[in-house]
Amino acid sequence: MSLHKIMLDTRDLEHPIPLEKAIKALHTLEDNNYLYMLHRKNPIPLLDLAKEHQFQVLSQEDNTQIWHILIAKDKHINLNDLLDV
Amino acid sequence: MIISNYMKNEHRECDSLFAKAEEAIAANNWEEANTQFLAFANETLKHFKSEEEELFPAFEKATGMANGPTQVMRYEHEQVRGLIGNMAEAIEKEDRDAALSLCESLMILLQQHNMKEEQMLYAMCDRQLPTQLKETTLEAIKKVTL
Repeated sequence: MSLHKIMLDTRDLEHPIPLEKAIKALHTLEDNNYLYMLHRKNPIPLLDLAKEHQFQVLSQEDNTQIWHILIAKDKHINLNDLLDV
Repeated sequence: MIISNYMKNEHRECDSLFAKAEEAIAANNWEEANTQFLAFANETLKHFKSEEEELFPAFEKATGMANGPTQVMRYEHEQVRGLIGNMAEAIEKEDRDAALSLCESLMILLQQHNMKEEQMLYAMCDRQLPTQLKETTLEAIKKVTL
C-alpha cells in the first residue's frame, strides 16, 4: 500500500495558525496517509494532543533548526523511514 | 488576547493557591492546608466549569472542532477532578506522604494541561472567535459559580 504524504509547511506562519492547520490535518488522517509538518519549533501541545488521540508521532530537529513533525494514524507505519532529515 | 489574558490569570491564581496548600502540608499545618486546598479546589473547579460550559462550546461552534482539543481538555479535567478528590481525602486523614505525593502528580498534570490550553486552545480562541463572541463568552465566564 502506498502512503500519501500530507505536507504542511508552517515555518512562516504565526502562532497559533500552525496548530490550527495541523489539527485540521489530523482529521484527514487515515491508514494510507501521514502528516509531514515543518515548523520553527517542536509543537509539544500538538504532539500531546495527537498522542492522546492515539496517533503515532515523531519529531526531530534538523541542522538548520527546523523541526520535522510526522504524525500517522496507522501504528504500523515506520515514521523513521519517512523522516527526511 | 482577551481570552488568553483572562484565563491565564486564572491559572496563575490557582497555581498560587496550590503552592500555599502544598507548603502547609509540608509543614504539617493541617488546618491551613485544608483551608488553602479548599480554596484551590474551588477555584480550579470553577475554572473548569467556566471552560466546559462557556468557552469550549463557543470554540466548538466557531471552529466546528468538537472532537479536537476540547475533547482532550475535558478528559484531563476529569483526571484532575479525580486527583483533587484523592488529595482531599489525604488531607482529611492528615497523611503527609500521600498528600505530598498527590501534590506532585497533580502539579505535573496541571502544568501540562495548562500549557496545552495556553499555547494552543486559548490562542486559537483569541484568533478564531469573533470579537463580540469573545466578549460575551468572557462575560459569561465571569458569571460562572460553583
